[in-house]
Amino acid sequence: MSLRDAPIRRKLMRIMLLTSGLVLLLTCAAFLSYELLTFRQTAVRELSTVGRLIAANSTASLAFQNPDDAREVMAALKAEPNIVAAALYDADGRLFAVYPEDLAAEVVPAVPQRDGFRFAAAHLAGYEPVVEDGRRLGTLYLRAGMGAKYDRLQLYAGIAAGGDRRLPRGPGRRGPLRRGDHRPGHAVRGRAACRARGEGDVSHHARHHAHGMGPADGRRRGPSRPRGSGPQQATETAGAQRGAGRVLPARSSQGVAMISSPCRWITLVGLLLSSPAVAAAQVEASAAPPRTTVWIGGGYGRGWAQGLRTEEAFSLNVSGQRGSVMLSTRVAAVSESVDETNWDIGLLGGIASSPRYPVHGGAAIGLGYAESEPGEGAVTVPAEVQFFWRFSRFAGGGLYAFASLNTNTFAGATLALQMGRLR
Amino acid sequence: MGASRLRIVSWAVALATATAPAPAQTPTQASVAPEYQVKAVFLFNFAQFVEWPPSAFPDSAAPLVICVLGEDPFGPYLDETVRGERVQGHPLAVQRTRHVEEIRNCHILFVGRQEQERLEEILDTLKGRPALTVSDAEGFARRGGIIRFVTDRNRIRLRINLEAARDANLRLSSKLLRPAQIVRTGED
Repeated sequence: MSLRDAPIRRKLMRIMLLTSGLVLLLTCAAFLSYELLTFRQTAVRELSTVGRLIAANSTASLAFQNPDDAREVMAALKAEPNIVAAALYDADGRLFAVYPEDLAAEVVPAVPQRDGFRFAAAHLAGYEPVVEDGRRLGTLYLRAGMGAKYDRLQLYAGIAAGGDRRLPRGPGRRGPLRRGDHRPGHAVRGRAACRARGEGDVSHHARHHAHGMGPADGRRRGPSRPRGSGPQQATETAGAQRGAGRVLPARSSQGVAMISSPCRWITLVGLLLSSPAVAAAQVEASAAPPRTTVWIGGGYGRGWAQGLRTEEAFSLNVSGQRGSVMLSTRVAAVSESVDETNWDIGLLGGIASSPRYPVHGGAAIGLGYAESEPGEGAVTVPAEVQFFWRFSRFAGGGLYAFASLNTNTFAGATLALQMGRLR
Repeated sequence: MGASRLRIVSWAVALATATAPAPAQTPTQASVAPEYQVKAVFLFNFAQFVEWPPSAFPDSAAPLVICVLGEDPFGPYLDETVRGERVQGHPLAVQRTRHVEEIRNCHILFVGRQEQERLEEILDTLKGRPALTVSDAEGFARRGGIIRFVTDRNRIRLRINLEAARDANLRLSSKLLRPAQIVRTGED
């Protein structure tokens, strides 16, 4: 018995169930997308704050060449289990002290790179200037494993899937790097630790071990005269002078309490907005003979990668719709420059509004392949939202928004045109 | 005759040159011990971690004067280190002297090891004045100096007499105290 011949009661029941399921799926997808897009920014902000605190407390250690004191300052990083490695370099770029104390010097970059924090495959790493009175005394390097962050997302996914899928975390899973261990704590991800973007030259020929370097022990360390450093880059936080012996506040990295309030709003608004729309689409689909439409679309706009805005975004999609079901193949890219392009290709399935009307919208999610750096490909979950005004039966214009959800999430919004059999 | 007179004159000149009290001569770059290269940088770095009272400077553009009393072990390194630098808005100047009466305007005073015998006189001269006294002489901090360089296992460590700093009306950053050992007058 087809749906059209079914009693109205069963018809309504099916519609309601389908609607609820789809709404739940969409809101979960929205919620996870939001988390993926924001957690990187949060991670950078948190690591940068810790970096400033440690840098502010390390100035005298560098100025008076006391690596023991520097190690003591960096020992406060124990309170942040995500931070798997740290290093201090003097004004001449020579390695001065490392954290943990028994870390092999080869594990950290031999010389400091550009200031700022950047994401690599499975960790966040970067450099914080050590500045006193506007004068640069050295550089602090910090590397944080992203295990806890990804665990949190897994927890959310687990909750969304109907239960807490947390695995008990054994000791050492996220422990700091030890001598000879060249991988970040959450090595379960299976990516090499030293493949960080912008630090490809992590040298295995570090000029000096951090241990046993004294100021007067021969000519290895001449007086590292502090150099003028232009504008003061490090901003000392209010608590910076209180001594690194203070234990930094430990941060709970999981738990439903961490679900930020914007996510709750997104969920609520998503539920409110999408329920009637999906229900209407379903009612219409069940009441009218299904119609098949097919179109090709392309657009240009702005994108975001790793929580930061990029210069350009491109989208190209071939989509088809029968009834309220939409299938889509798309290629999407966000680009900062030729060297820094994130792109993906994927197959997506979702729902779309009736093709009878000139205003047409659809949303889909699927599976695909993404590359953030040449040769560094990974499976991704592509998602898209289309919202078009079909001004004729064959052409339309509107907004095409996309996201590629994996460890190197990126997203974009493009102004797009579509052509094909639209109505 | 002329030749023998010339010989006498040249001998006299040589003798005079050898016995004359040498002015505060500056060692050449090659003759400076590596530890004094480091200490020169440390002297400059002190300026960043110590706060002088406003009365220590006649005006906001007045230089922060680093003095070296007695034999100068730093050679050109101290001048090179401070050249073109400013600390808390003040340019830096280096002044070398052998006379205690010339140290009253110093903001940082390095006292050479040879000056130990007249240390009391030096510290009395600076009593109540905002001058950061630094030396690597034995017992310097115990005897009322503010910072003593101590060489420990090939490393230069700092020993700081906080009372002396307070008496001199100087505010030392807690960051400076982190890598230092704190001592009191009478114990070094």
